[in-house]
Amino acid sequence: MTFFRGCIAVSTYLVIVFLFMQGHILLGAITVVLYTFAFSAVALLPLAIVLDGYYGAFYAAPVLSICAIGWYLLSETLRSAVNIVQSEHE
Amino acid sequence: MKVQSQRSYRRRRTIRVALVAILIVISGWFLPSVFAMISALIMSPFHATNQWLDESSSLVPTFIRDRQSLQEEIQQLENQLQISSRTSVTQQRLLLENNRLRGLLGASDESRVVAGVIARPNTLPYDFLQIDRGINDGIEVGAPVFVGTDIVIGLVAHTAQRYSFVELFTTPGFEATIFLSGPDVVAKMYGMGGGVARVSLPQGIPIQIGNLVHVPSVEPGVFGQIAYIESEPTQPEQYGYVTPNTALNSLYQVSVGRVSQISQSVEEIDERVRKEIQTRLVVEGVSLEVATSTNQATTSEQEEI
Repeated sequence: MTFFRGCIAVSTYLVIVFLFMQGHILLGAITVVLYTFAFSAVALLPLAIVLDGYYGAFYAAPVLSICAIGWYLLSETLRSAVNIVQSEHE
Repeated sequence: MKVQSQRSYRRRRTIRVALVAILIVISGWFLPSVFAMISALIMSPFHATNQWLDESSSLVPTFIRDRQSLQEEIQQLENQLQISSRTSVTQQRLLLENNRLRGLLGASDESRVVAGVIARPNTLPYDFLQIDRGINDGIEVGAPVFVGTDIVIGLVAHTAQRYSFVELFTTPGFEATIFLSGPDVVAKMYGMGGGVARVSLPQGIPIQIGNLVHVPSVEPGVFGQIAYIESEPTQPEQYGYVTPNTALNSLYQVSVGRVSQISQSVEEIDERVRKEIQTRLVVEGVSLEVATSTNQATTSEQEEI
């Protein structure tokens, strides 16, 4: 990862944090999708857990964390499927 | 073979990461207060920044907040526009239905005389209008005067051969029984002069600015809207000040109806109904007299009855 790419990753990550904190859920979800395809969804897992803890979601149901885990599994499955197709064409 | 091992490695790593995350979530479920404390600690710089975005009067947060509020306002206005467009369609439908029902009932449209306004309150001493139609054109004293279709502004007070004077509802001392839509109450309206009339109501009746004032004696008759409310809790009454929807200085033409359009007032009708009820149970010619012992006298009394 180059320095420039790292800067973009960090700033996008911060944007995701503030979008969720400001209540722009739809915009946040779109940014999450872009971030996942550009980088990886692993970094989103701690973010979702921390946000759930911050908003006290662990007292009820940590929806954001569960969604993040689901999204991570889905994105990794898609990524591996795309890699298989690529390797077969090579 | 190498690709296969890489793929299985990635899959194993994905499952491991997911399992660790699930484990953390489950432990968070069991220890929510600990997680909340740790999260609050981690999120403190983000929390401060978020507060700054929410509350600061600096340029960037203000810009973001203004944009959001403008977007919300646009959304609200679009909703109102949708509702009002539907309302206008409903009004058109009701108007058509009203005309159709009036036609079915045989209610004929009243005839009106169009008159031009020669003089207005600023040139006449009191709240009067002078119009250029008189007895020659069929104007009668007491006929209602309209602006538009259903806004009634006063009554004809004097007619000459070729002109008439109209006494406006806002003339000082003019009294009319009105129906105030909104709180749906009947009240007295008094003219105050200067194009203003006053409705007095007891405290506690929820009148609002914009409530329509109907004059039920005149059909159809809307006078105006409540423009100002004077309500002091220590006083027994509250006052609503009414102004006509059209400014009197901008009046150019009015239409004059017929006296027959003014129906009996509610008080008169009430009085008549009460009299009717009171006299219904009285049978004429029945009188109670003292009975006598003789048969002849009793017979004569029975004959009287």
